[in-house]
Amino acid sequence: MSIPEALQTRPMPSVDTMTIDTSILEPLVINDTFCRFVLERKGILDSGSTIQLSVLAGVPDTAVLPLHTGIHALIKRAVLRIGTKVVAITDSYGAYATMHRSVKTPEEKSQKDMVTAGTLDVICPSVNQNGQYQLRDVKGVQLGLDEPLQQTVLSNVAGQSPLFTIKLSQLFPMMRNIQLPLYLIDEPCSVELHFNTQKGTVGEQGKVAVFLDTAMAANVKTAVVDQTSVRLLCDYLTYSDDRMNQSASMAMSEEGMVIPYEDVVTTNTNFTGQNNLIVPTAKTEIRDIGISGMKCRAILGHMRPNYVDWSAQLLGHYESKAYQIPLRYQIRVNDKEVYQRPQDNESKKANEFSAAMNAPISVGSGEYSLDTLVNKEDPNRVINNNYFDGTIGAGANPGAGPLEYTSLEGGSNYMGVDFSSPGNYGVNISQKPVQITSTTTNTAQDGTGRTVAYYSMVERQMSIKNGVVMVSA
Amino acid sequence: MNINQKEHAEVFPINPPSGAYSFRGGFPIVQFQIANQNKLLDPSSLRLNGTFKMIAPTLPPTRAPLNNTSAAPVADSNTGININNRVGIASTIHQMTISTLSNQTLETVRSYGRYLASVVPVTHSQSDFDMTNQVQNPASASRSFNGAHALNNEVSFCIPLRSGLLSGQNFIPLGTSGVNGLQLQLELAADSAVISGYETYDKADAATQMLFNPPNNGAFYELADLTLSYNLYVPDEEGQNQMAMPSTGSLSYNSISQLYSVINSSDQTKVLNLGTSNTLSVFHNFIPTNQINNYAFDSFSTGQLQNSGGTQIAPANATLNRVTFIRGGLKFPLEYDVEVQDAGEADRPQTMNTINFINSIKPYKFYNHSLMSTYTNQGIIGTIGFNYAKTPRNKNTLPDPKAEIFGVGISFDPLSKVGVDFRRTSYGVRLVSQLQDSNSPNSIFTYVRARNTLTYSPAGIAVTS
Repeated sequence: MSIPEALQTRPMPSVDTMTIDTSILEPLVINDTFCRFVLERKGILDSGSTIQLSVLAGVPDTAVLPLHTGIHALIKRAVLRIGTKVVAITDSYGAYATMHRSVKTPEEKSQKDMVTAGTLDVICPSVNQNGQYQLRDVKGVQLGLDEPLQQTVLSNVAGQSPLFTIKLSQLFPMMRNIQLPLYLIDEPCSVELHFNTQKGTVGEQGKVAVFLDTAMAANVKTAVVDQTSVRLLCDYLTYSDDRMNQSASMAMSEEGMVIPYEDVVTTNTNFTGQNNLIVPTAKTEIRDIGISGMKCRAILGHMRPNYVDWSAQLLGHYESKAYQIPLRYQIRVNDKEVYQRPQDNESKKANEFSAAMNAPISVGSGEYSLDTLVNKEDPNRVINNNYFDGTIGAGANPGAGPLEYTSLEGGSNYMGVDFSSPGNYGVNISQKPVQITSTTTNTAQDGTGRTVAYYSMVERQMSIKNGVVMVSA
Repeated sequence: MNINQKEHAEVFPINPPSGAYSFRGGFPIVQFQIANQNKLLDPSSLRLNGTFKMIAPTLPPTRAPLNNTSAAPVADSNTGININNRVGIASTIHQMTISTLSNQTLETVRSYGRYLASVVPVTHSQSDFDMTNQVQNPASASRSFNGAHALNNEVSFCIPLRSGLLSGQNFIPLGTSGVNGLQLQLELAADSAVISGYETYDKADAATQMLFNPPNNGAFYELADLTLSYNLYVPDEEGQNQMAMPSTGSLSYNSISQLYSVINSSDQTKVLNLGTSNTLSVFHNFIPTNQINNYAFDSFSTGQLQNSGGTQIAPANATLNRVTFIRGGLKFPLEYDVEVQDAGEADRPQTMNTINFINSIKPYKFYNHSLMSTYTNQGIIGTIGFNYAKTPRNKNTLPDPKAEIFGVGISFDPLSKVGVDFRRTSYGVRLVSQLQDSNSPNSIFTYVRARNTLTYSPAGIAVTS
């Protein structure tokens, strides 16, 4: 049984009258770490419904949101719940959203997301005309020193920080293809957001906000959600009675209405580092991804470096750091290796990631990897060819302790593999888990371990029958 | 036919060299074979992977990293060595031939780099060059100096092969009921064609060329660890059995072919036999003949026609006055001349010609990303910054000024996309310009996009152009 046209997000082939009823919902419960919205039982929930949020910084006029993540950094976890059942859950959401943003076109990043999400990630040749790069959408204070545009800088007064938005379709992969028929569901539907908070320690810097002043004491560099700003702008769609009744009769039928949708399963793991090395040392790490019995479209990987001090990192905790000697990986699915040989060509890895995301990755080569930066004639692969040039500061004296653009180098190194084919959502995973074998190499300059998150895009099913929702495992 | 699963395939060349592939080292040909198998090839997924390295003309030859900086190069230095920043590493491919394993040629693209030199900047914006293209083709950049800087070290790449067949969306059946496998032959371009210098600019946008010194010592490049990767789709058992049995079928695809000619007068009509029955579009790009295969010049520049000034050292633009497209002696498809003299003489955009040129590469109504601007073509800053920025963006952050994306082209059949028959009728283009007669030979590279049909049967494979 196919999904009714009204629940799909693509344009409908037939013309119909649609009524949009927008409600501005305030959270039922809210504190610094959690909020819950309860949706009304009417119409069809539009996947473009939007949550508005803003962040309060401990010190005004010096902080921006993590450059490639923006307001998504505020969300730790998002849960869509119907009754007591969890329909969709996105864990480690900030890193997931950062990866998704990497395949947006530079134009969309600059001209849409900078306004709606507070991101700052398009680059251009450096004004110094030295063959290197810098951020594009910034104001030049002096040669080699920029400051962010006013509309991206955070305040410490409720209601005065810039207000940004996140669509439900960004929070939950399921809502990219499906709109929820709330009028057919008897149980209460709720959206739960778990917020990140940033404490005033060096290890917490960049979790929610990046303070563009390294000279400032860490204890005042805090960030938290502005509770007064949080709203859900909820669009409920209603079509003609015929169309609504058609969906209703489907949901009341013997079989019920079965809706396949995409969900994300997050697997967190760790690659240990090795410090004080004289010669590069490789280590092989084998990790299982527990998605047995599921149908998997793609797997994405994010590798956050285990820095002790995050004060100087423009990407904050959402950085996925490349190794100086490229990470080499092989993936085993249903007892068969996916690649003919392990993947270690950084450009090809970017191509595989693009295939998994269904769009080309749009970051500079020196942002994706350190391939153009390191000296291949040197066994330690030391960096001899920096990609970025310049600094960015903020506040009354932007030159006080600005952050180096070089912290962006190799900070968008994602992995991905795509299993989809025409007519097939993905590959059926047998009882044996997917196995990812990674060879990491630490060097004298890079002995840092990585916190790794694998995101498996899997197909699940939701059935609506007589107002009751059932969800597959 | 139902698809069961997707496979990530990767093959190595069948003619591996002892070291690396290089023109100078005597290994300029790379051959790949994709076996006959009961699977479908996704041509748009095909990528050439490997590592690219440029080596300085120092004495003795050294493998030390380059040091491309804004400092003027001195003799025996490793500064001032670059490849074209718009074509990137694909500029090393001079010719690409795709054939079946039974040696039936499906497509040959000659002067592949110059084809990309027009197509890529017309269809990609500055940010695309500095971000999207660059991730897989590290030499790609909006400014030549940025491209050069990226090549200071050996770099990896993963580039698409943009021939007509491989840019198509139709899957290619590789089995007996299909093309019987494919082979791909890449001929590498000469070092003197691929490598030249880069430019830095002063406040008045006057260029200073940074070129390794002396250029004739011979910087060279090497390609290593080459592989060809692609996706294969495996049909269900019934589909596989069908593909294994000899049967009849056909496949439509576009092909790109290239013709070379020279123009050396102010009013010249070039008549070319295209030999294609479903011709979709033609475009031409130009370069002074003495700048091809010359370390001192970028062999992939796409400027206007140029007068030598008698010395060939500092050529000057020869403004295009008028273009006429001709089929069988009649004006076609435009029944009028494209008059652009006034705009050209005033150094303003020759819009009427530019729109036709763009339309020959990409339908003009879908034209949304491009490097082409008044800054690249005329040196006029037309870009302003974000609303909050008080002044236009610093021009050092824009693409190279006056690094033109110039060409002449025409789309024959933009509506039905069936194409126009040029099998028994010649194609002509009349170029009236301010070229000084007999003194300034300029090469014309002509690229023809045509629709072909590949028919396979138990008797063999036939291609109808």
